[in-house]
Amino acid sequence: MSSETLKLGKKKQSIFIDKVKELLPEGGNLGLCLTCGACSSGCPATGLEGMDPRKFLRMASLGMDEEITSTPWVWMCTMCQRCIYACPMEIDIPQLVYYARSAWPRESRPKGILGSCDMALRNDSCSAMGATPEDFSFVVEDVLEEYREAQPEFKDMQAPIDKKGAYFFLNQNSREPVTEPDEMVPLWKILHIVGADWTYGSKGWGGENYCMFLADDEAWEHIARTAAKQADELGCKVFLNTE
Amino acid sequence: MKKKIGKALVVGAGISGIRSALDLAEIGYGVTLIDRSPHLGGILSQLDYQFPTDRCGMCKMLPLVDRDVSSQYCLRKGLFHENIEILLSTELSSVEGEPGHFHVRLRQKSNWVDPDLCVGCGACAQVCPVEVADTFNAGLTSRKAIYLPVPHAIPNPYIIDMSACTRCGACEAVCPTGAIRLSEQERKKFRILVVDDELIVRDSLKAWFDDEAGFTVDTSESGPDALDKLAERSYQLMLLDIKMPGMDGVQVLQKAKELSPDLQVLMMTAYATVETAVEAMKIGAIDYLIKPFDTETLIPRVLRVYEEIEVSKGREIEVGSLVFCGGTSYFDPAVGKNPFGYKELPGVVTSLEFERILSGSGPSQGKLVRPNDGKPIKKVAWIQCVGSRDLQTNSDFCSNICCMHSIKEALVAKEKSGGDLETAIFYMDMRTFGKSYQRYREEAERSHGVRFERGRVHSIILDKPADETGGDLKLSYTDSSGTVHEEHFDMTVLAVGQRPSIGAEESAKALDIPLNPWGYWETEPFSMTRSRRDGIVLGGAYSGLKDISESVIQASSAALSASRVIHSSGGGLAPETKIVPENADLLRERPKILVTLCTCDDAFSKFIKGQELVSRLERDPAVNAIEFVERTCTATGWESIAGLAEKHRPNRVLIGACLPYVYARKIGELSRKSGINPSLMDVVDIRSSLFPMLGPEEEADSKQCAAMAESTLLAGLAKLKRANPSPAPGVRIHQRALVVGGGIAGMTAALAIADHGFEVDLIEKENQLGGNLSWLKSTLSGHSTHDLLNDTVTKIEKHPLIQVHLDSKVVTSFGQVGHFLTTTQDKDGQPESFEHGVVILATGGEEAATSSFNHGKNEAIITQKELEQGLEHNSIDTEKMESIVMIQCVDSRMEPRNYCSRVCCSSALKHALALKEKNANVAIYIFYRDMMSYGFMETYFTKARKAGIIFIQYNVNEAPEVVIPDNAERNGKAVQVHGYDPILGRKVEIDADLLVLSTGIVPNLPSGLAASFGASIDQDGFFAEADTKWRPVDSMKEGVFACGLAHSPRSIEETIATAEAAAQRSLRILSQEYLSSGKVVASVRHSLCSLCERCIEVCPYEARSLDRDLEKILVNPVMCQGCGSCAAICPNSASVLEGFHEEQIFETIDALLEGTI
Repeated sequence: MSSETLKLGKKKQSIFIDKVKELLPEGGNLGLCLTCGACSSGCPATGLEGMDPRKFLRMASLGMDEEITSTPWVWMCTMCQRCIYACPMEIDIPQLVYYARSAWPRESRPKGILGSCDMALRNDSCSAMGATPEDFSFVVEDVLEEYREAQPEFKDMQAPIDKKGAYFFLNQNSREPVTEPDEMVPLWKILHIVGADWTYGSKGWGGENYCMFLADDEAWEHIARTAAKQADELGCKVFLNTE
Repeated sequence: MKKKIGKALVVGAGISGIRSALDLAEIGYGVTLIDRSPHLGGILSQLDYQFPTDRCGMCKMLPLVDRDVSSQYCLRKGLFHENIEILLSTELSSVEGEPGHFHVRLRQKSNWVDPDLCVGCGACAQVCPVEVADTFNAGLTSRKAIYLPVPHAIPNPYIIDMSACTRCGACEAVCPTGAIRLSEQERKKFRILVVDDELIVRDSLKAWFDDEAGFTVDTSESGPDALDKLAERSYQLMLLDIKMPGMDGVQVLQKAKELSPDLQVLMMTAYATVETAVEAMKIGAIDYLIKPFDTETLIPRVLRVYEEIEVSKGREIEVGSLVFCGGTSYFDPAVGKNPFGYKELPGVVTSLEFERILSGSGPSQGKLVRPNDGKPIKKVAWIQCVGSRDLQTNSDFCSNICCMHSIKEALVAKEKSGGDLETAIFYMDMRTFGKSYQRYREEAERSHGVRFERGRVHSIILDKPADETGGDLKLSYTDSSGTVHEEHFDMTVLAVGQRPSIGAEESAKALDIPLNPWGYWETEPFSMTRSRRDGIVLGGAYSGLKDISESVIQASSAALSASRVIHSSGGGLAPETKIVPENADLLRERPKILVTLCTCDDAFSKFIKGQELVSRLERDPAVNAIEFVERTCTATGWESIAGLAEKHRPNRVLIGACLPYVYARKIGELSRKSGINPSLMDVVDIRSSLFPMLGPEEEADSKQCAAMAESTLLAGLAKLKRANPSPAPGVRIHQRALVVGGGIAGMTAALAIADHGFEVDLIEKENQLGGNLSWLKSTLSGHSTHDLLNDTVTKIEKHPLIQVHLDSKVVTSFGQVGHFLTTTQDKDGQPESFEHGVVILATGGEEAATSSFNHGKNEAIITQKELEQGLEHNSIDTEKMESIVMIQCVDSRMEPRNYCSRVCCSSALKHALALKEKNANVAIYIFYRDMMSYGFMETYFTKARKAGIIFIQYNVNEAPEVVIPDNAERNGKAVQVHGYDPILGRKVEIDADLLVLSTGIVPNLPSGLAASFGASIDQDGFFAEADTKWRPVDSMKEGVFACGLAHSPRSIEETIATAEAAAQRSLRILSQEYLSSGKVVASVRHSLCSLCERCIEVCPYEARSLDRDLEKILVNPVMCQGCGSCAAICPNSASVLEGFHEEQIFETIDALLEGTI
């Protein structure tokens, strides 16, 4: 963090925070900060890169656009919303962080998130692990079979994919089918016991959405629409987002 | 006494209600004081300590002149005044009529215990099987269904909480005096008709209300059936379902109301049909209940209907004016997100709960332990602004008192712990905007080690302490450098914010009074007390929470506004001629004492052998007759005493009864009937001697009882025998007022007094009236001060009773309350003299001059006042400006001017918002220490931030610096401000076109002027109050008052409130031709006096003076409050206190000892 004297004076024209205010209802209350620090006291990213949510908002308010659109701190935010949860002025700091992320050239954004988003765009699974619809149905069927045999009390358990007219449409973090397939089962069991009528979709089953974290609006929209479209086509009534 | 020709109703008997009632009573009106709760004192009954003394001092509000009309007794325990009738557990049910003539209906709830019979023995509570949370201890302890609402009230009868009572009858069986009247409820006579098509609803309601609650319940499954039943017999209440096949509930309601208009109907509705239920209320249903029923709300609701129709005492009175002092409610932190875990984590309490923990009558008798687990408290955190300054809880306001309240709690807790307590206050702005508050805060920090942490805690979690010293509540906060700290505490106190008082919204609706945006009653512009409706006024926290001194000021101002209405509608203040009983000869008469002994039903004879006692008393030759009286406390009992006085013709009366303090009013009556001076009558408590015997299982020790009763009576005799029968001295009042200062404060005070029919001389040193209003333009809320000034000046000029003296200055004054002689001088040096009974100092104040921050060296550096004038006269062109900086607290809140001036933050906000409105592109930076946008002003602070104004906090030792750049580096800007932004941790440099300095207010009250009237000034030059909280506009010297900026920095409406309060305090004196003292006053035996003058120094009321011509010490009997300091200090026993002569005291002590040995 710079220790240089900050020069202030006449209002800078069209600064970053003003643009964000225009995008948000009530301007996200971005001007209302009391600098109380409730946000930074609860933020898991406080102190990283010499930054915290209060400071970040302050810099935006003072028109320090270069700093806020270049600090890597925005990528350390987990979007957990603990800041706005406690903020007495209900200031939408997460959205400010989001727009600061989207100010970054796409290729400069963190490799992990970028790669995961790109992976999700590769096929209709929308899986950040890049798993195909076929891989997914193979794993689901395989695991289901295994459990039905091993645990007779669940011999009738279902894990349908693309079941037309099911009430619930369920998505799934793709880490599980790819690396920890057993982790999918507890939820199946619950759904089975309560007698829920549900289905996965072969398209848009990947529940995680790295494109949102990447602040790539277009890609985020593509992923959300793929999943929603599949649920609609199957005639499902409720979308159960497990992420 | 004075004629009571006007009456007022005061609603709410908290501190404001008591103040208003006393004020009105003291100028002679009859006052009915009601409160919905069963006790007096409001919130203060739960608070033991108040800053800055960290003690109580409520009794200082008691009358100071004509003291004997009221009992001089702990005011927290009770109030007994001749002109005040107190009705507790009473609510207002309707108001009709017009100002001056309101017809008011009151409803008094029964408490099921006869207060005249209850002796407070507590046998009932011992046997009561029900335990519920005790509201007095903020729910930290439990109580029985039969209980004492506060532990300290006098009289203090038990009452029954009917919503908790199971009506088992155990209490009724053990009550030794038959005071409990549970069986009189006769609930079976109360008939309820339940109409619902569902059997299960009918059955369960019948089970609850018939079998359990004891009412008579019939049921109907349809509308037509219900109407048949209603035609057959009468019911008091119908519980009516809305959605039924065939005839629906609304149709049934219509028909039923035609059949029996008095029938009360509660609608029953599912959530979906609530709107229909609301419609039903328009055609006569009293309320609705939502299904599925929650028995905790349903049963009390029905009980309330029962109590309202069947057992409440209705009452109608006519009053000239109504004063609403309904107090305030508090935010419940358990509601909503509850990030601090209130009611979930051990040791998280509200400020009120902590107050109870500190109290000796609290859950742990004042020991600092956690109420839930008994863990000793070693470390406490306070979190400010819980439910204030918080959009999440819909509270865009500051609650005014919490900052000071928390500091006080921290200091009291530290004192209680013997210093072994760590305290930290987490705050956003420490709002020490009252007169001495900044120094109080600094003292707390510097001398007592209270830690102040600027910052808001995110949330609290339960955690094992990292080391042994910390508690198990973990708080995290960010310091100004951005570092997050985690710290453990044993207890966290949530400083909860204000909420509108319960019922405020409903009564506003019923009375057609608008609410302000925050849900409080709205007052008229520039008035803190007048509502939209003439004759309906507000005192205290009803229009927003205030601390004690502001509440007291506002209560007096409310009393003034009420009195004005009563007066102008014909209820004048003409006093009755004072009747001084003809008893001059008594001096030479031998005492002839009539002794009456109350038999207290049978309690007396049960334990005391009457004849033995009588023969013992008869041995005293001063006793002329001894008589037994049945139940002295009843009207008949008291009548019989009057009869006995007639029969025996005594010259003194001693009444053996109970609760001596409650008899002041009755003694007055008896005096008027018998012609015996009230000072020659006394009531002594013989009932207490029976007390230990009244318990259920106690064995009677009649010997001990008799001995106690005997000594009490002998002591009473000793005191009465020696009582001086000469009439209480007094002073004649010159019924004319002098007001010094013709600003808004002085003008308001002058008008208020003149409107009550008394002449006023208004002295102004300038050649025109108006003071600071002549340069002000408008207020932060947008009201024109020009209009206010013009209106007020016109009224003054037209008023036949006000003489304005311009270009005049006070030269000297001497005299005392009732008669001052003041000399003034006009601009040509011509003297003029005034005689007056009281004086109001309204000499004002002004914006402080400064040379800080290069003021005076550059025309771009100006003060807020200069900015206001510049904007008014368009001499400052802000159109072209791009950047403006303001600096708050210039030379303020630091020694030597270490106080907040209250108005500077609002001026800065007002100007900054106006500048932004003119030119949205101008950048405005405000350097502040703590934003003092207290109360509802907070909204404007929020608006200012929303408008893009940047606020930069600075600490006093890191104040910004101002540089006037050379032409070369000017950058087109006139000034450069170098500061530091704590959030960024970086220096900032701001180029500005204009720098505006908030320099604060200095008073304009020369010490010589104050001293000539006997008033004092404080270290900052403001008027020194007799007591900052309880007597906020009085001087220690009676008859001298102050208001406006000479009193303390304040806004226009706050100034007007002080002016009205000062006028009210003056009227208390002016409204009487002759003012009598209390019977206990000091006098001087001149033959023994050595003129050492020590008594003069020690007298706290300045009632004593040395007359050099007579070579005598004189005592003003009205100013003397009978404290006895003079008698104690006098080396020669020359100073004596009437009623406490040495012989009298020694004989009294002898009598007491004789009885007990």
